[in-house]
Amino acid sequence: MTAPKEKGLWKRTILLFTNIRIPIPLYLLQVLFGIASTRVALMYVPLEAQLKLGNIEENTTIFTYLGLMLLVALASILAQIPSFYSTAIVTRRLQDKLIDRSLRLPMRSYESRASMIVSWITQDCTLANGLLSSIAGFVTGIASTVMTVSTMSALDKGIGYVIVIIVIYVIFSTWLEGRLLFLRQRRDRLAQSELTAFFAEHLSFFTEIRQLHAASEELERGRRAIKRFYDADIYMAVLTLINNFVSGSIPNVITILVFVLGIRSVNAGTMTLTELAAFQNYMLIAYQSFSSLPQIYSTLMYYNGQLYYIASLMAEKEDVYDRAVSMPDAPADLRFEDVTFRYGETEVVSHASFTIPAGQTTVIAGPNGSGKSTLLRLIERFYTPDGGQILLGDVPAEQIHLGDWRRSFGYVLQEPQLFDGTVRENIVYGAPEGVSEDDVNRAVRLAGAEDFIRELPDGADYRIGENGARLSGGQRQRLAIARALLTDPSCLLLDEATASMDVSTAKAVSDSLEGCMAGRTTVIISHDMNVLSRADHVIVLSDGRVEAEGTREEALAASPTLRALCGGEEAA
Amino acid sequence: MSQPAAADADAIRLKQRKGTWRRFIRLFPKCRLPWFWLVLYILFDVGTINIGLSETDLTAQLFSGDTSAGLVFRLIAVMVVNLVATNLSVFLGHVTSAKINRNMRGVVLDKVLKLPMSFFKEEEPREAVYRIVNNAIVIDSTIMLVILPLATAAYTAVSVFGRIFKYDWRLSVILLVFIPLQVFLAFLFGRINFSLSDREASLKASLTQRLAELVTNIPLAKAFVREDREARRGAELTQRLYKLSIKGSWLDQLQNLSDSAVSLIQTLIMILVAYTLLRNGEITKRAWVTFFLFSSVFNGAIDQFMMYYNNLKIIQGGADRVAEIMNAPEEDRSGEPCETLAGDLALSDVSFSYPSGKTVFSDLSCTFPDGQITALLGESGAGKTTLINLLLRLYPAEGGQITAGGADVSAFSLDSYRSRFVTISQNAMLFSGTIRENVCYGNGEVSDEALTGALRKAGILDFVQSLPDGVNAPVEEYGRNLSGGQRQRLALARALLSDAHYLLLDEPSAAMDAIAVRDLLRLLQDAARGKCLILIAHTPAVLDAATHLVVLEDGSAREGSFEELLPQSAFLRALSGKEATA
Repeated sequence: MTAPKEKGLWKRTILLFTNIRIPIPLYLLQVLFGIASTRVALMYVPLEAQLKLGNIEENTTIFTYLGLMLLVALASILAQIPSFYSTAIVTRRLQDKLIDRSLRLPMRSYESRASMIVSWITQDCTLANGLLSSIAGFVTGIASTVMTVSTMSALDKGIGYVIVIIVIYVIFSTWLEGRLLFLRQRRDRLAQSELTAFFAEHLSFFTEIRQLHAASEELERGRRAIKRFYDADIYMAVLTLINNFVSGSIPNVITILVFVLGIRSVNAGTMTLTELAAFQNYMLIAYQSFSSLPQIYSTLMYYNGQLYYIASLMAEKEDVYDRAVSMPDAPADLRFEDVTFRYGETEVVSHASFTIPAGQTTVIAGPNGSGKSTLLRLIERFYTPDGGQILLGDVPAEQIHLGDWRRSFGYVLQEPQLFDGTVRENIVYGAPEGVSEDDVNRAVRLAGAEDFIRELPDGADYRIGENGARLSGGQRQRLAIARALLTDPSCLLLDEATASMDVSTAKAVSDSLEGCMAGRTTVIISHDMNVLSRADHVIVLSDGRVEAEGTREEALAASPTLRALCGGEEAA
Repeated sequence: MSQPAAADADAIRLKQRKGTWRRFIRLFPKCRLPWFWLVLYILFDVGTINIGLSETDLTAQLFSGDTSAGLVFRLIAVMVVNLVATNLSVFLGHVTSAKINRNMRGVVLDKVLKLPMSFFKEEEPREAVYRIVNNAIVIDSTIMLVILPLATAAYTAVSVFGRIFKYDWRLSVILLVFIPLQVFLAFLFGRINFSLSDREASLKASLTQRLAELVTNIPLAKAFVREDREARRGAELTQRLYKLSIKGSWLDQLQNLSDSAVSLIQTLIMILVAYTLLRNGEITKRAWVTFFLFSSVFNGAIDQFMMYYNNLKIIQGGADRVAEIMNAPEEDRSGEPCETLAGDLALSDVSFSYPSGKTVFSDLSCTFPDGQITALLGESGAGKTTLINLLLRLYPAEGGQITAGGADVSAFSLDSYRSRFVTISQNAMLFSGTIRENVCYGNGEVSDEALTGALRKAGILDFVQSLPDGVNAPVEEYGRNLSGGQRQRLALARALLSDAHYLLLDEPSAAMDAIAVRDLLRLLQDAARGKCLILIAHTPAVLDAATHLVVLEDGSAREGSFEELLPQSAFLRALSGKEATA
């Protein structure tokens, strides 16, 4: 993913890190262990050179060699420990912060990112450590390079200038590698996404392809996508070849250079073979320490780009829960006064004024896309009006404590959100801790969920699966209703609560809901115009505007839209 | 998943694995492998290995004190050649891989499109298909990541052994002695780590899953003002994930430690033995130097050998799936053509049950009269979709007979038979492309006039013409940039373009309100005149449009007009809201 070009990107990333406690000692340890392993590797070199040449005069040489070998192995394992601890710690701290932040975001900020937040939290958080570790790696690299070069200079027999050539070459090859990588990624991402899009999108219509009799057309399209992916593969193979020749071959080039230049010194007698062998190893160690240094900029840019999303999530403002007054106890009418709400450019609700009378059942009717669900979200204060205001009695809603407010509403959606747990866990989700068994049973009975729960294999301890997958649609809905009733809300909001059910199930659920609605303020949205018979009050919406408000008869008389929804023109 | 169920699944998987490889190898001839490139790559690889060994050989000579110009020149020449050859060999490997993958993806795609629906059993086909297609690269992985590297590693080990043997047979014996030890230790540690990390991985996956669920359910937490409690629950989950990740890392360290221990012990003993031989003057300095340089090459080859063997396990799952699909029987394409098929569609005594054994219906009989609009009704789960799939012959009927115009449909070739049908499903299949591409999909070459005509009949021509690019306007993935009603109308236009005689429409209930459904039905009534139209209905709105009703209820079909059926059918009474008055 390319880093979004934006000023203040770094500021945001740094801000991200000020939100968590960074385990600095662990990163210091990483640097220390890194330096230590280079130190040991350097000590190892002259001995290995002697062994390579078979110059073993004393037993100590070989034992020192074997001892150092142990030390190298141990050091490399030790060096891993602070690294994996820092990864786990930073990831966890960041995850906690992000979960907390996401929970307290205003609904609209959450909704605009909902599909991505999961992967930001479960995956992207590990990248934060990558950024810090690469800084630690950079420090280690500099220290190691300095150490190696100074050790080597003690051995300088006139071919030390090789290192200068190599430094220039490494910088050049890093630049080239970056260019090639860019070209490669661009092409790769295109072809990859094309192929994935083809398979994901087209083959997701597997049944439909059969129904439309289009297998041969799909085969041809698929072959085209495969061919393009193949072309990209070949293109990448060529780029990799070039890259390998230039960057990947540096160690070999170093060896060749050292031999070509060194053998002359050996033949001239200014250098021994042992020194040549040692020199070759030093050069390789120096290269290893040095090679990653020029990449630090692109590495940091990479992480900065990758962390962009979680950094911007962290920079979002939270909802403010504490407001001037707490929720009044006495029931009061809910009034919309000239409320306007926009989604981007489009006005979803425009200048809506109406009243939801306390203790009565109100039906909001209107065609698809007329803004019914948005109204419910405004009532729940998930959304804040862009104009006008919502009042409870005479108190403006925004002055009332947000938590109190939401607690007094029970919200039931067409597709209820359930989680993978037992029936009971799902029902008591919103209730205060230590809710009594009697209360639970009463809510279950009111929701008409008693019978089916009893028939489940483990009763209330039955695990319902991911989002309630092991229950039927009607059962899921009844759980959601029981859950809403358990908090004893003073107002019920029902958004197409029975739309995804069978006729007979829908009827049963409606009947059980009727019992719950008695004496409670209830707001219903439904396609099924039979609900109008239960309405004390009707509000008709059309294109975000209130077309009519009043009793069922008043609304029918005033609203052509409602008449059309109720059975066509003949009613008019 | 509960523990016993997991154990059962493991046992089944284990049983299935046996014979996997036999089935898998039998697959190879079907994969259109690029043999020329494979052979070229292998030859190049072998050449590169030999050059590499010569390089080590010459280096050993240099380090034994031979600094003559001739040797140095040869060494440097070999190094350069080795460098070039290694890179070219990698390049050839990439090209070969790309070719294998291209061919394999094509073969799998072709196969998937010809599979009968019943292959997928009760699994959601889209997921199965996606997984299968992803697994297509398994052939490439097997060849390029397992078979060839195994062969290469074996070849390297044997060559090194041969070279050492020429210097001193005793040194080569030292090499050999360690192979069983190395294999045994690697196997032992690998076994321990594998079983541990397997468990850790599945626990980690489930914790991550729960974390994902928590985040997905944030609106719920807000609605119930549970933010604090959910934040605490999230922190508990991340804490458990943290502990797991630390534990996993320590396990990795154990693995590293065991790996280093094995190679350390081995090197230690090898060097000590060879050193003793050198001290005692039993071997020359040259032999020592050669042995010293080559022993690491040899150990590397053996290590690789075991690493690639482990790759084998990783790709096994994918191999299973690909083997299963490639060996599955395809749909039978034989039969008589039926280009002008028309007439009543009738089922007589048809039964159908899922592979799990659950009966959907048995001995079902009903008729869809030609030239009429039939509404197919019933509770969800009553078998409406199954019935449609049987009519389309996506599944074979068990017992009984399906006839079209009086003729048994199983006699007709699938291609020709299905082309007489067109379906407008709830999930209107729109894909990224242009409006034209989407509407003409499955209809071959279409003239501009025909396209405009179909769009007009579907009542969406005005909308399309209002777009800046008209019929060439872009459609986003799954038709996201269009409304539900627009998507339905484009699907209708597509259906109208085909010269199919049988139209099947799955009424979209939730996506459209009563006004939109009525508009769509009015369009259909005109468009389908003289054809046989079947509506799967979920709302009472369709009842007015239908002239014939088929109600699936209590495992059998009732049919007739609305008035005829109303007294018999409780479902119909509930649907039409006439229960209270009846």
